[in-house]
Formats: sequence, C-alpha cells, structure tokens
Amino acid sequence: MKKKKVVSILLTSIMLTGMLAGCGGKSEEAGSSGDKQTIEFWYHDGNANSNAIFEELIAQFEKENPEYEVEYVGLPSDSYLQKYNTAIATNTVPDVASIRDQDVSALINQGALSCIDEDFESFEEKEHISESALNAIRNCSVDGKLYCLPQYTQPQIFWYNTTLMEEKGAEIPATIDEFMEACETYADPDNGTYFYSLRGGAGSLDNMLDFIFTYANQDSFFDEEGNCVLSDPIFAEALDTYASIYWNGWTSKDSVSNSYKEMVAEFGSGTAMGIANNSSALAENINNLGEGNFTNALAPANEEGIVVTKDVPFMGYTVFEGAKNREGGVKFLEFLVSHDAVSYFCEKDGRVPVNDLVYEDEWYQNNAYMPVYEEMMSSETVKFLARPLWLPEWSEFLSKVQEPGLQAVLMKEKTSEEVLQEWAEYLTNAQKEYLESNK
Amino acid sequence: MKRTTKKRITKTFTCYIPLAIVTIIMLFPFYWFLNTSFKEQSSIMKLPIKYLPEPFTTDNYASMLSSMGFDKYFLNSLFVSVVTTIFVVAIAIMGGYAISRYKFKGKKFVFLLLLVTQMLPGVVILVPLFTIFNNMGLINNLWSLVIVNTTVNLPFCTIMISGFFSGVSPTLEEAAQIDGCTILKSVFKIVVPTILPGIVASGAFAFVNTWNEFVYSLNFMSDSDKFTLPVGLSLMKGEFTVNYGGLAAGTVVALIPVLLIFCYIQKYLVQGLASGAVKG
Repeated sequence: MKKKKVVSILLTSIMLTGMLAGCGGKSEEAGSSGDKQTIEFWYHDGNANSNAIFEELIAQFEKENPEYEVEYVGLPSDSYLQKYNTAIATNTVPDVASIRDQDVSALINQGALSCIDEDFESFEEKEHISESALNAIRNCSVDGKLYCLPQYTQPQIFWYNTTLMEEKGAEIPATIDEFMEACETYADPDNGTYFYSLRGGAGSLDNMLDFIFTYANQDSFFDEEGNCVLSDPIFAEALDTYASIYWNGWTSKDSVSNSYKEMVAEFGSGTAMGIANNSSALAENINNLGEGNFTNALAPANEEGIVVTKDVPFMGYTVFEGAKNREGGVKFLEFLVSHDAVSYFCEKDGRVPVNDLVYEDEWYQNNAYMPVYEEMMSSETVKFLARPLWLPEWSEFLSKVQEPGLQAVLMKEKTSEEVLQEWAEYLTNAQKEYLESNK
Repeated sequence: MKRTTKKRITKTFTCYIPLAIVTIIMLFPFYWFLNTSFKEQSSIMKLPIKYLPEPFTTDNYASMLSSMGFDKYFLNSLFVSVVTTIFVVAIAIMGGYAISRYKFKGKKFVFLLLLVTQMLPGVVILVPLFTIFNNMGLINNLWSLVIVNTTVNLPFCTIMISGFFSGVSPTLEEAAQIDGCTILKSVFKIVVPTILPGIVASGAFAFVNTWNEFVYSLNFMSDSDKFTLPVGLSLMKGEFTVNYGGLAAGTVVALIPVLLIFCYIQKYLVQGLASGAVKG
C-alpha cells in the first residue's frame, strides 16, 4: 500500500513538473518581447565551447543594442541541416543562422536565404572582410550575389606531432616524394604506429583532392567546355600513389573508414605522426597532445614546388528569407562579422579570421599557428582549387559518389581509372546541366 | 573419467565459456565508457591505453551538469518518457482488449492499419506533424513530444497487448461477471493482472523508444532548455571537437534510468516476451 502511494506521488510530481515545464512556452509574439525586439539565432555547432562564446558575444551585442534581445540555440553539428530544412518547409526559420560552405548552394537553390548585397554595402567594416572569402561565397550562387557573410576560414593544412617526430628522427616532408618516403620509413604495423593517418571515410574528399590535384599540378575541376578533368590519366596515377599508402600498409587498416574524429584520434593518441586536415583541428590537437607538441605546415608540394589546395573554405552567417525580424537579423549579422566578434570567436575557438582588422590584435600576432595560413594566402607557390560548390549535386556527390568510390579503390574493388571516370562523368553532367540552365 | 566430471567439463565448454565470452563482449563497451567518464580529458587519448581511470576525476560529470545543462535534458527526457509510457499502456490496454475480444466490421483492416503505421519512417511525417503542432502552439512544448511518441508507440503496443489478451480465456471474465463484476471491473481486476508481464513488456518498449527518440526532439524544440537527452548527447560531438569524457559521462547518466527499470521489470519482461511470442 505504502509502495503504491510512493509510486503515485512520484508519477504525479513528474506530471506536474512536466506540465509546468512543457506549458511554460513564451507567450510573446515572435519577433518582439515587451519593448525589445527578438532576434532568433541558430548556430550549427552548439558544443560547450561555442555556447560559452556566444553567451559572451550576445551579451556584448545586447549591451551595445539594448533594443534587441537575442535568442540563441546551439544545434548538433551532424544534424543541423535537417533542423534548418524542417524550419524552411514549415516557415519557422530563425532570423540569423550559421552555415557551412558546402551547404550554402543547396539552401540558395531552395530560395531559403535572403540576398544581403545591399545590406553589406552599408556595413562599416565591409572593406576589411577578405575579398577571397566573399568571392568563394559569391561562387555558390548562380547570380553571384552574397547570401551569407564569412566569419572564419578553415584552410587545409598538415598537422605534425613534433615530439614524436623528434624521437624518431623524422622531418616535415616538403615534397610528395619525401612524404611518400616518410610514410614508408616510419610505418610500423607491428606496433600500430605510422607516419600518416589516411582519411577514407566521411569527409575524405578534401585530403584526397589536395593530394591528387597537387600531384597532377592542376587547379581547376573543369576545362573550358565544362568537362571534368578527373578522367585525365595523370589523376589515375595520382590516385594510385595516394591509395598505395593504404595498399602498402603505411597507414592503419581502419583508415579506410576514418572520418575526422577517428583520424584526429589516431593523431592525438600517437598512432600517426601526421594528418591532413583543416585549421579547425587545433582545439582537438591541444586537448590530445598539449601545446608545444605539434605544429602545422603547408602540404607537400609537387615536383614543380606547387601546392594545390581547396579555395578558401568558409563558415558564415546568413539571414533567412523568412526571417521575422530581418532588420534586427542584419544588425546582428553585421556584429557577428565585425572585428570584435570575429576576434573574440577566433581566439577562443582557434579559428582563422577573415576580418583583416584582427591581424593587428595581440593574440593573433602571438599565435604560433597563424603564420602558416598567412604564408598560404600570400605565397605564389600555393594555388587554390575552386570546388564546384555551385552545383546542387555537390553534397550528394560527396556522400554517395566520392566516398564509396575512394573506399572501393582502397579496398581494390575498383581501379582508380574506373572510379575517376565515374566521378568525371557525374560532375561533367552536373556542370553541363548547370551551365545549360543558366544560359 | 567419471561420468559426472565429463558432464561438467562438457557443460563448461559448451555453456559457461561461450556465455562468459558473450557477456564480456557485451559488457566491455559499458565498462569502457564508464572508465572514460572518470578519466581526465587529456588522458583519454593517451597511449598506452589505461584500463583504469588514472588520475581519477569526476570533472566530466560536474561539467556535464554545469556547462551543458544535462540536468534539464534529463528531466525533460524523464517527463516525456514516463508520461508517454503511461498514455501508451493505458490506451493500448483498451485498444488491445477491443481487438482481441470483439468482432466488428473492418477488424482485419484496423489490424492491418496498425501494422502499416510501423513501416513509415518517422522523418516522412515530420513536416506535417510540425505544421499541426505549430498551429496548435505546441512547438517548443514537451507535450508535442508526448503526443507524437504516444502515437508512434501505440500501434505496436496495442498489437502486442491484444496478443496477451487472446491468451486469456474469456470464460475467466464471464465467471467474474456472473459473480457480479461489471465488464470494466472484470477486465481490470481479473484479466489485466493475469497479463501484467505483457503490459510491463509493452511499457518498457514504449519507454525505451521514447527515451532514445532523437528526430522529433531535435525538430520540435527550438529552445535549448527543452532539449531531451539524445539531443544533449549529440551536442557533445562538435564539428571538430569531441568531448569524449563528457559524452561518456552523459551516456552513463542516460543509461541509469533504463538500467534501473530493466532491473526491476526483468522478471516480467522475460515472461511477457515469452508468452507474447506464442500468441497468434
């Protein structure tokens, strides 16, 4: 009897708590909260670090603009796009949201993003935002207009475990030949340690493209007629060389399915001395290896001394077409790409800023990793490869065509020629369709 | 060799050793995330692998509660799961009884309809459900999750419970009714206690499904304070950073209610699933 009473009381309390929690929704109309205007803001990677950063930034914005109140929601990075798509389909989008470069084109094609060209013209710091990052954004749309603004870039570089390399007497390879030699020399499958951790799983495209385009010394996906150049035999030779790292056992067997997390874990645990990844791996490397035990460097060059790498990858902020408070959204957007916000965010989150006013900041000048990115942006031996982000099929190509294709090559289920031919055909068709529809 | 010794050796090799291996394989991941949850972030990735957390820390649990708001996610999940389970069980008992005991027009069709709902992926009905809840003012409200989870779990639980009702002879109720019971009384006082293991199994099914549900929780809630545990756990995996310690601690916390429930209802569950398995 007593037990029954306890259970009833427990269940009733849960019900009541829930009713209070569940029904405690906001009664204000969207877009206003008393005298203040509400700005709804979603961030695509809402982890503990970024949540704390935005808490600070939003407090700063609200202090400077007391007429606004920002409602922040941090989302899981691997499913944020699903949330955006549901919001678009149901017309419940936020005012401002962050967006990754690879997703911009698809959202523009859905008509979900608001053009901000005119608004940008009135931004105080417009001259200080990297022109190359802005161009990369313009490349995402057919009309060449701005649908988002960049806050930071994520250049593709190599990370090396300097402590481990010193122990083994290894040096940072400057060329592809030296890199392949290091992969062979320092591979120790019996002890499970390697020079390089190859990425064969999700997100394998960037590492592979940088390698094969540098090897082939080409910096464009398409020729003048819109044909994809990947069917050129030099790329098959390049992909064979890349895949030989796996075939020869110079990287872990798990590499075939390595995504970012597994690859960075191999690097962080000392299984591999080097990885290729973008600048954003910094925080994870500091966590795993500690400051002073690793460094970043340019990717190995080809015989001509040229490095080909993907063009300015950016993370930006956008105002949705269906924003309930567009004016407030634009105001907040201006703040997010301003010197103060970019500097604070990049310093705390280890990102590479695209507002050049930050370059004068003390933290930036004392940062050990930034000189490599500056060298990359200014060097004549670094060429940038524009990924066809403008193609609506690009996201599908990454997950359904490229990734399984590379794995098939690594597992020797298909030859490099076959796979590159498939990729070339897919991209050529997409590009020609794109050109045709925009004539 | 004595016959009993031979029997014992055979049993050890055919029963105990395979069972021990399976148990170790099943328990190892649990041990590993428990171990990780008490490690310092910097030592999680270090080689050689440490099988015990040295140095031992509870920081992951503390930061999970203080900076990630796991206490809120936990309470939200608990509320949604408990209320959903109560609704599902209550409605499924009535629906299951009706399907099992009454003959009515279109009974087979209703049964088929219940089965068909199980074949629809949740994402397909996401947008229409969102629109309906939005018009009802239930977006950002935990009741929308209770309603949707009840709807999603109800068909299977109804089918399951109707199977258990079919296993109880109607004469039992008839006898009770001859002795003066009303229909409702005979159902709840006589039949329901008889099929209690089956009801518990259905309730456990609804609870665990709701506890782990992710898609609706992510899409229907646009306020971090209303997120449930699965969404909270996915926030531990950033685009370029993974808080392995926090993730492990969060998983331990998320697992506790499910473990406690299963410990308590284990006996009912085995009986329930076994008896339900042979019903047509």
